[in-house]
Amino acid sequence: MWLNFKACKTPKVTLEDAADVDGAFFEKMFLLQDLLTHMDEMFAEFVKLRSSNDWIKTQTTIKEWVVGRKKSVPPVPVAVTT
Amino acid sequence: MKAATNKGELNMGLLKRTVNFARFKADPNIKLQLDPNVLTTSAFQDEEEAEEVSEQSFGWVSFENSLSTDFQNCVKGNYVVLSLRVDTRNVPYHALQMHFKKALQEKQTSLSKEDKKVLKEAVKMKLLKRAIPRTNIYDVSWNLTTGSVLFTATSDKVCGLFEALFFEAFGQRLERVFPYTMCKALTHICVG
Repeated sequence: MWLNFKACKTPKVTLEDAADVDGAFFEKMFLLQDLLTHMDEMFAEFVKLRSSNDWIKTQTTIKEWVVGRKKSVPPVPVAVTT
Repeated sequence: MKAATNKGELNMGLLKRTVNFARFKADPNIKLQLDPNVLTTSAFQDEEEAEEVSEQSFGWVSFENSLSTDFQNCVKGNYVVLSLRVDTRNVPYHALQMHFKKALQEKQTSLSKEDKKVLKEAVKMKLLKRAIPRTNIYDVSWNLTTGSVLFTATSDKVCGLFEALFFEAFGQRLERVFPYTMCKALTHICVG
């Protein structure tokens, strides 16, 4: 519901100098902001699609894709006990 | 306590490689007169030496050193960076029952229901003082230009505590960023 970010991994921020916490902070903020910008863009794209007349077509395509995947997945082997 | 220990090693929540966080939005149009002294009123106060202790104590601490309440370095460029420290003390149920029973025996007279309640509370307070607090530190990064606030906790309880303390310190209500508010913002952009 909240769209929180959990276990969000960015490239490692290293501290070259123990006193330069600010440098590491700005680097991390840049990386997180980059991620948030991409997420916001994807969400905006989804909202645009969801509220357009094309949504029914997209929904049908998604449903077909899900059904198609279900069929292509091999059955799970069942252990037989005697 | 929470600083970089060795070269390349970061112990701060926000700077760790893997982070959890919730997003909030503050009003970017409000010109903030940031005075580090304002923060000291809602800064964390260590109850270790205090007469009275509570089950939960919380307040702001420095981002670089969670043992410090010096906020001189809390502004970094266009960011305000702080940490929220939450100390929780618990008295185990069985320990409380045992000590309460002992206190009742020491009284040697029968007590009314109300007096028993008061006695139990007093026993609990006595035990709370002996309890070692569980400390949690959550980092806050507030971009003053965009109003975007990141808070490194996702539980509703902690987020609620943070929102209340943020309002107390800065007089601003935070808006949670989630699909509904994101849609609302998009509609504003599309309509206006």
